Amino acid sequence: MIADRLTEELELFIEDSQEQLSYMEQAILDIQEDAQDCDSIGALFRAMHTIKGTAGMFGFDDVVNFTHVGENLLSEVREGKIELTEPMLDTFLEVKDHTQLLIDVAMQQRNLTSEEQDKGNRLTEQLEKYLAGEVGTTVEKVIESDTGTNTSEEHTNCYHISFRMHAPFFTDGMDIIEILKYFPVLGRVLYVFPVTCNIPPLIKYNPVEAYMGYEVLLESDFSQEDIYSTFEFVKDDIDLDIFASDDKKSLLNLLEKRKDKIDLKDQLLFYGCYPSKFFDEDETTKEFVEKPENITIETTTSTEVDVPVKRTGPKKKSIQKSFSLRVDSSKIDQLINQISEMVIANAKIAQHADTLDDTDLSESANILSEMLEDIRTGVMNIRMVQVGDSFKKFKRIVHDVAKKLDKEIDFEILGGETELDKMVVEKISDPLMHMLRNSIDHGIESKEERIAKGKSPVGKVTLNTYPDAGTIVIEISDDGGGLNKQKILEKALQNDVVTQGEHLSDKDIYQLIFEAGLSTANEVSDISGRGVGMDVVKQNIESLRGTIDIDSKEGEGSTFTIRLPLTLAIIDGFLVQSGDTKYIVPLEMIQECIELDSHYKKQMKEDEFINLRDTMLPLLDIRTLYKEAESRTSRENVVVVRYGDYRMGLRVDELFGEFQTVIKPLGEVFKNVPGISGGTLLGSGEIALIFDIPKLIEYKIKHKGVSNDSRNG
Amino acid sequence: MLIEKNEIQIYDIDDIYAAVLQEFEGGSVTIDLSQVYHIDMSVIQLLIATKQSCEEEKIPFHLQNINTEVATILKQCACEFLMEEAL
Repeated sequence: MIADRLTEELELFIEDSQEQLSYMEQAILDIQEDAQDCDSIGALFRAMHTIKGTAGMFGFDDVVNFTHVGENLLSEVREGKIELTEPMLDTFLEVKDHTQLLIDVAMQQRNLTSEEQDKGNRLTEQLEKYLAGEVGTTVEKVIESDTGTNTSEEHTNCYHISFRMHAPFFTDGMDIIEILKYFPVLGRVLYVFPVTCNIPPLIKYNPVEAYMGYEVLLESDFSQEDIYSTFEFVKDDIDLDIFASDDKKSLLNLLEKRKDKIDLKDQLLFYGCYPSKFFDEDETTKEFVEKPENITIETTTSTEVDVPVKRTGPKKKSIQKSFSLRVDSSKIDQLINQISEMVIANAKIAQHADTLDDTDLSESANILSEMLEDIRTGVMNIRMVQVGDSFKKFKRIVHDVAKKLDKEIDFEILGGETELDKMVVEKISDPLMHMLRNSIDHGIESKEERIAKGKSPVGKVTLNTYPDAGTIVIEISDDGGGLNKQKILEKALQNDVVTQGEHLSDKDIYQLIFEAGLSTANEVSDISGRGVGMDVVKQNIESLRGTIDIDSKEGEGSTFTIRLPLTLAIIDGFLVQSGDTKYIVPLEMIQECIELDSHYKKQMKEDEFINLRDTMLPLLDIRTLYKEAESRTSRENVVVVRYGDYRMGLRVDELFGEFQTVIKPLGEVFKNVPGISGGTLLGSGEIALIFDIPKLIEYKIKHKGVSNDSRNG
Repeated sequence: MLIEKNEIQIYDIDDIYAAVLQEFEGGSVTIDLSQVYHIDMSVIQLLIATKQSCEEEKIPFHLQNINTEVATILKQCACEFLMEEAL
């Protein structure tokens, strides 16, 4: 059926509809904040219109019928005829969800269940109630007008649409019929004719090649951008021109451009689309625009119709041509993998150049290395997306959870422009969602409780994202009740997670909430509080090589701080050696390198600290930690690393310098080795192990008793 | 020629073209669409090509037993002229 035939287009449809649904949701939430936000009302209308249009192209009638009612109501709202109310916005949120469901059902090629059908009917009735008083807006009537050319309505714009299908149009799996069927929905089709003069004689005919095109004159209330969007799925497979029908210059350009076997001007005149005087050389566009009203032309049905001219009405939006490309992320992953292999191969060349003492080859390898770094950065940048686009969806979650719990929440997203690898953004989404729910459910107190505590009845939840020292920090903070240390400890003792008398810092206690089954919520709700989740949240964050930290003050609120690496595939590393093993330290975490000379050694305290410019710097001896062989050099070095608020010195033997590091996962054998996040292949073929700095700091804190006094500020 | 399919589209177009060409070379083209309920643009284009070539060569061309569904598609594509000589 249709779905089998147009798999690729359906995939695009799904992607596009997801995007439009997300715009819808965002627009509704924006309007909730500012009811006068005309841009958002317009965005909401356009999103619904686009979904309806594209669904129509695929024959998803249930989606078209349902969204049409919503679109109708929004049209009235946009024109100021109906006031947008809070309950109406809530209905639109449900409409958005139901539209999503209808799309899913259409994709699954199944029928709606009676429950789903009932919900749709209820929402349609609700929308129609809002529309009450307006004549002829029932679903049936609207749909009826959609299926035929509407000849009675007045429209604000008139467009000339001209397209020619590219030769491989059919073999690319495209069909144009659904778009032609959709024109009457967009407005009033004044003229439409197929351009058939380029079709070769039957004996020279190639049946799989497309030779045709269409010329259409369409009166419509929609913007030129909206009309363009109708061709979204075929725009790369046709030569398309859309312009205002009174734009003589564009028309003349089109006539010049089209190389049909019969002159396009003759065809347009033959079909009566334009009066012959329109093409007169001495008539300027300006003159035509100024004197159009009384010109009439003969139509194919011999009735007189107003010439397609500019009418007064809402100002048309200028078209912003998008230069963005939709690329399957697996293609970028493949590219990154190939670059990774090139980085390794180039490292081998550089190694050989050093061995051979070949300066020319070494220089070439260096140039290649710089070029690879540029390419790598460029490709990585493709994957980088602004977190704000993805985080906007949390507004809906906060809205729904708050409503369900009868809490008022002022939710703020800060630093939305911060960029992060798209894959990381996607993977962090679920943990963030869970934590936000927790913040609202357990963090923010009830209105009554807040008032009793002298707080504002409106709780504040903030999602803040910012870059810091080569990592991205995501903070979720609330001004709720904060974590109850005593309760966490009691629960941890009950569950044998800690033992009686064990000394734990505040941070250690807070970290206990990430232990499986350790929910301290008084009540289990369907939102959170089952103790299943926070451990998974931590696991998910750690799987991204990230960390999570908690700060909390009872009665004042909590802040969950997540630190994530910028990218996952290739990092700038710093190559060091300890004993016989080479290690990589992520470059962005290095503050400085110092030689551990006799001056420092004299001031060392039990090999655990050094005095670095009058600051006690905790030291982690890599040789001791990993039981490395004795150093072959007498010289020792300290690499000073920083992660968040913590600083630490890594005591190593040799320093080799910067190294582009392709992160390769290590097998199960290394699973329990502390502080190692992966491996990389060096030019010599040797393996270097990549330090997991947060884990090493954690190890140092746990095993050597270093606590916050080593914090940097 | 009778097309024994309910739905004809790009995947069937080579076969249909071969059959139409054979009729065309035989001096008369009559296509029976009684069993067809859905066509795509590649089929419409072939029908137009056939009609145009038949007119050029003064060969009779007829579409037979067009179902409402197919007629609607032809109308939606502004190709009603294909039905002018329908039987």
